[in-house]
Amino acid sequence: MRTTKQTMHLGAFLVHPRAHIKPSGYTHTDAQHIEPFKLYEHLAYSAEQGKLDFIYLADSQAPSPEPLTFLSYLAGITTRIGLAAAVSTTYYEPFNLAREFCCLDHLSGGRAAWKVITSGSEAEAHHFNQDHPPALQQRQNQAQEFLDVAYSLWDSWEDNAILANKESGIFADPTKVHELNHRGEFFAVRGPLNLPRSPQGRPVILQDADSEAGTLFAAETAEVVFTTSQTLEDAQHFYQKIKSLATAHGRSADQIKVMAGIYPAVGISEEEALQTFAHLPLTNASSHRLVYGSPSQIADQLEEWFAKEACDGFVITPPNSAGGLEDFVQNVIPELQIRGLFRYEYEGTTLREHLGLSRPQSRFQAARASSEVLHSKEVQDGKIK
Amino acid sequence: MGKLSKQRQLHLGAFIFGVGHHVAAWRYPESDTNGLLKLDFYRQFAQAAERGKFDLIFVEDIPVLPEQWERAVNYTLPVRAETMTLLSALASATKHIGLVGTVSTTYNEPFHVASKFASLDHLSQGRAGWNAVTTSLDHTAKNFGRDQHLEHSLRYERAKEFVNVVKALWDSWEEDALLMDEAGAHWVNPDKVHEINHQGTHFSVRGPLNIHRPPQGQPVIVQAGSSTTGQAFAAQAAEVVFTAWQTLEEAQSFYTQLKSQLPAYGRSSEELKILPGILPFIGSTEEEAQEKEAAFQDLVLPTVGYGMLQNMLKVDLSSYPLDSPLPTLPDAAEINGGKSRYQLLLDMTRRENLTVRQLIHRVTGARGHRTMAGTPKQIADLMEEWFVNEACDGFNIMPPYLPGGLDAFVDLVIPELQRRGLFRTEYEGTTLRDHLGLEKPINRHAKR
Repeated sequence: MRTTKQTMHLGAFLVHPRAHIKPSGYTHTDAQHIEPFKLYEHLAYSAEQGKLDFIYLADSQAPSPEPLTFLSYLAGITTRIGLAAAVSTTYYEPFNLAREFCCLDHLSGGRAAWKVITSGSEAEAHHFNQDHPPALQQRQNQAQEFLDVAYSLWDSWEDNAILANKESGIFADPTKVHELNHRGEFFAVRGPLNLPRSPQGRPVILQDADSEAGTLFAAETAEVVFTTSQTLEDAQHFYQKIKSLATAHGRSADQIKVMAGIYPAVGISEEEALQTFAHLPLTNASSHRLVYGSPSQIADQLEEWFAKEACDGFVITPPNSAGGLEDFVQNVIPELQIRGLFRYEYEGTTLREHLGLSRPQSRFQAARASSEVLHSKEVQDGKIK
Repeated sequence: MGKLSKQRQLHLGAFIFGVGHHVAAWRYPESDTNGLLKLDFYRQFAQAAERGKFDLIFVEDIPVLPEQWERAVNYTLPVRAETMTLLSALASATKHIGLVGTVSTTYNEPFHVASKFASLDHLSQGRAGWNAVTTSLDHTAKNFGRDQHLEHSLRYERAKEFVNVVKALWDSWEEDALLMDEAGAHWVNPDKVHEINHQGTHFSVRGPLNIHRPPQGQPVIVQAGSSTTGQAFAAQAAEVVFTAWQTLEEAQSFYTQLKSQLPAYGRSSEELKILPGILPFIGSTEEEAQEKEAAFQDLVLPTVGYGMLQNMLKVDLSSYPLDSPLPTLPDAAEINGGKSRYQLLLDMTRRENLTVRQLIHRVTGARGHRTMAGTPKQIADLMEEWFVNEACDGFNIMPPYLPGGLDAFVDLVIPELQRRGLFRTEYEGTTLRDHLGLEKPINRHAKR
């Protein structure tokens, strides 16, 4: 059980109902008739009204907006909500992708988040000059190296590198801007990035943990982990496991947030919810757990998982209508707020602040700080005169 | 002006670059240097250009810091917003203006680029344009796992195939492939979505694209290299060409030469618009404008000037005093960088017998593009002269500093051009193709 008073984190999936559900049981404006771009824009507005931590654009079936352009567009029409998308490392250059996320973080004022995925589909391989996708292990190794390069690029300008002194004509301190000179199995990248460090230092890293290898990678690098656990016990087990694995990597347990996928069916009453959603083909309702009932019944279920440390929050798959997220925002969020389980207003401006994640120090800055400490110690010890 | 008097009008781009095109722009007191990388700074730029009824804004892109990056970060502002994220964020801040950006064909995958520009075209409701460039710098290669850059002609070969693949992907969904209105039936009509099955030298791409057909059918294709290879590429594929010329005669000769290559590809002269860059220093008198230009030159530290020459000429001139004549420079054929700009600088130094300092002054502002210091009327005169004498179809305006440099152009020069009937007073269409007078391409799969 949580012993201190905490609030949960909430995210919303941007998915088009037609991407995974056959039309039936619609109670609102049928989202299937809305162009995906318009629907997602609408969902993002609703999510920000509900003070959610972030919206998340999954790597979904066509047609779907390209993630970086779409998140950047949302950066222009929202002000506080976090902007996350899944982007595969398999066919990308780390310099390009690191730069795009860095720029998104700048333009959005610190709201960018990247879910690191790899591409295992045959069809996708055929778009990128390949007959087959790389094997799973190779994809994961490549993703790991890719992320490592991205960290170094994001860190390549230290936070205080820019002086922009109009008088003296000194723009930046070149000793605080660094080449990576990375040469690994998959990539060779010199750097530095041609963008300074972004408001969050690095975008927030999201991951799935749907395999053993995925879980280990997530424990090491993810700041938000999605889980599709269906039962309280499974979720609690996963929660304990990932947090202790993270701790073993020298990370603090509260710096990795576990968010459980839910598919909320909100009714005025339990009966109405059942009636409306009973004929939904549940197997199609993504792999997320169906949570149904009146607003207070849904809040009960979320509270139970949260209080019993099955998760730190939830990612909502909006039911198959444009009004699906609005129902949640208008009815369930106030119930959570009254119970002290969710924010009334955004308190910070960056996604890291919403999620309670600390801002990572630049690798290069850290290395320099430790060498300076060492240096001054050696001076004290009389080793250096 | 009635419909009968409908005359040929200028097309204008507003070219955003750092906090202004002049290398010392960031030091200029009126520049919003702290606004860099904040969305409001770019919004202000895009909205000013839209107020001026510009056809488009243009964002260039180089995926690397300058080769001598320590000097560049020390004394200049070398950071650049990434094209696609920036243009997408601006799509919501504007309604009419075209959104054109550079994305390299050298270090990207056609599928990604096709999907990004299709997405931008949807988000902006038909305002996207892609400046398809080849990246010419060896040190860029080092950010992409290669030690050396692709050789010049190979780069263009790859670019040509790249653009063909992207265009095929944009056509892979027919206009009415998405059936959103037919409840209960298929969401997508599979008969109207097509694999492209491209198998080429550089790429093999099956398709279809993962986004339905963009509102413009295809985003506008822009090209920006003026070498012989670049011209052939432009004549075949480009709808807008950005270019740099110093004199009316040079610009005219390029204009005629490029336009004359169009019929060979079954294209007419109107299907390609040529827009040279111009960097305007605007004053209420000519003297005031010249003083303004001089004030910018005073802000250029010598090390910055030598650094720029080294980047552009691939020759270290730092041992030559500022007021000494330039040494003999190698011919364009001997370098593996961007050839057309190099040739331009070479011609200029030979024609005008420039000293090191004079050449520095030419490149610190417009980097080889035409600079003009004058009154709004004088600037309009120059533009009119080039336009009526078929040296161009319009201009890419390069404000020396921001945001004031663009505001001055919009508030002072645009009205002068409008008075002369040389520029629109209102947007007439909604898409970038409408503004440029370009037809919407017919989908190759459409039944005729």
